[in-house]
Amino acid sequence: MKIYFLGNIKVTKNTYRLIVIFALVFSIFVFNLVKIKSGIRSGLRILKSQRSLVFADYETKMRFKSRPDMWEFYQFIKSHSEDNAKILIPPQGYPWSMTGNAAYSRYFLYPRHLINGKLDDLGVNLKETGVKYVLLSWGEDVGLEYNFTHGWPKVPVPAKKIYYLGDCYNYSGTIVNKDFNPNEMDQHCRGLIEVDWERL
Amino acid sequence: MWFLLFLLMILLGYLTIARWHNDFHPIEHIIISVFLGPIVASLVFFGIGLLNIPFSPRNLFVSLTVSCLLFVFFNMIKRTPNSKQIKIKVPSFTFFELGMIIALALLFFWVLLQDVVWPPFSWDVLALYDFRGRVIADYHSLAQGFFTSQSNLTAYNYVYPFSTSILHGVIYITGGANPKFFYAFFYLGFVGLLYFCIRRYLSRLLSLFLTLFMAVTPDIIFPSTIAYPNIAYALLFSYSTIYFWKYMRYRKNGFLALSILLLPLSTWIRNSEPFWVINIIFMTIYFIKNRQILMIFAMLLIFFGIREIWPIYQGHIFATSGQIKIDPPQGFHIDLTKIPESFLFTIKYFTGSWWQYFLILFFAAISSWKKVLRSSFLIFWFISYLGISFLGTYFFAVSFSWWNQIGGSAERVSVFFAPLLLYLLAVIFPDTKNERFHLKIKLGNRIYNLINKQ
Repeated sequence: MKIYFLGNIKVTKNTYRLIVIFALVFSIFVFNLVKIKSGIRSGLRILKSQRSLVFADYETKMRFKSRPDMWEFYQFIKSHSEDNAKILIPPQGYPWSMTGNAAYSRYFLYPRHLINGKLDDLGVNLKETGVKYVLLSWGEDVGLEYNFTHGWPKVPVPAKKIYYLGDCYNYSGTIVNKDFNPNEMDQHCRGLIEVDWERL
Repeated sequence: MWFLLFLLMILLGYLTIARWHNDFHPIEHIIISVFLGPIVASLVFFGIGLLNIPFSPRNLFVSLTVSCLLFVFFNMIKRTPNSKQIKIKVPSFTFFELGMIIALALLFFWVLLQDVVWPPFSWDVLALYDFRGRVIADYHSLAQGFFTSQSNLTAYNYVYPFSTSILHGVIYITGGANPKFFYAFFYLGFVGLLYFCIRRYLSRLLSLFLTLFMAVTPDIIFPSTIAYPNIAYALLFSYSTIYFWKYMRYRKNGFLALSILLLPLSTWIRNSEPFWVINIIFMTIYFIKNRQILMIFAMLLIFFGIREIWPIYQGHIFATSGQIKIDPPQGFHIDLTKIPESFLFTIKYFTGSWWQYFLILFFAAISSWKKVLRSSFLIFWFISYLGISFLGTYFFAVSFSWWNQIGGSAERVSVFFAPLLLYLLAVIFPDTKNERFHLKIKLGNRIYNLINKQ
């Protein structure tokens, strides 16, 4: 339908419709382009600033892409436990979003067998289930859920050895023949308790 | 060696639809091969895993070669004698067209770069998809013994089909360090095929522009770099629908064959989504309407023949390991109060990411309502996806207490709306014939090319 004449151009309703649709498509295109621009640029910037990573090995890349402190912790656990070990880990939920998530942690600790403990007690009979190690973790997150509080395990554990990653309370390195005491924990505590089955 | 395996996968994909190569543009055929091959190959590898044949590099190559030969044989029987000779002519591009092709290529290379450089690192990929791949590579098998050894994780290990995990596994077995490159090619397929599907309705420039429009959508480009299987699912499912729509219009058997093949393969990626039900219903209605009753049986046979492989295997695993599915429903019951909540949830998460697409489609629809009426079957088909999204959400809401925590998943699942909406836009796009002459005179050739159907 002809609406009016502008010079010798016959502008119809259809022309207006097309202009509206083109304007809409184009403005949304620009809107999305602006939205992805920062993501694309940051991806390129990281590659530019970390050129050595492009051809680096898997471990180096994963250390960079995952949380470095968690990568270090998982490597520490691997180096202090056997491949076929069963390890008791904190219950699933914040503040143990990673260490308490058996499905996530197994990626880094495979082929070790991970079992979730409970908050206020260990939740399993360590000797009967063959659990040789208990993870010691203050919690990698600030946030909390399910009425969880920082620091796990929350009960004493008879230990042959306690391997600390960094400083924890007044301890560091490997402590031999001293049971784990939940009152001796602070926010820096991360480590692995080798359970003394004889004294369970 | 992994690269040779990948090339063999592409060849398998090419041969899968080679019987109907005349129905596809040569570049379209190659794009389809690049994503179809690996998915079909993963099904072949799953088959040899079920037969307890170890996933050694030799067995992987032999099984793919045999599969390729089977398709060669399939393509030879009853072949149409006067098959059209492929003539590839290099088209001449305008400045804008060339610019958009370069932009699309750059976007693909950016995704490929991110996928090739960085190993899988996203949460679910580490917890499930890539982990299963590493275990498959370690055991050179489907590793049933390991995956059922931890009772608390058995159900989780088998929650989704092994498709992408097998692809990860075979790349590790054949010496590859990073299988994420597959996802860049899924992105290429997802974006690239749109051009060939809408080209018949729109000018080359406009088709390229809508393809670029989809390529820069944040919910499409970024998930392609993190090895989630959602883009692969969306790719197979959406183009299963679109190629059937194309079949309805052009009646080319290649489109029908591809559509019928992609639909069950999409459930080999993710089998919990119920959208396939809509396709089965509408395809059946179409076949009944056109008196193609035999096609209904052929379609159902192919669909359930492929789709049921995983549920049967999963059921067998759960039965032998004494497992039940993750979080069994708390019992379905009617709860009217959940209806508005489910409706709002559907609007927010299933359609929320695509509001821009809906907006454009809405304006196009009110501009050319006659075309909308003519395409009512397609429109109704699409609306049914929204309907089943709502019903699925409602079922979830009354069955699970944590139903409203799956917003992110719903958003990722709804990615398949994007090419469907743009295809519908192309179908109902307002007629530009009347504008051609005047715009050509006054606004110049560039604008003329923009709206001119070539």
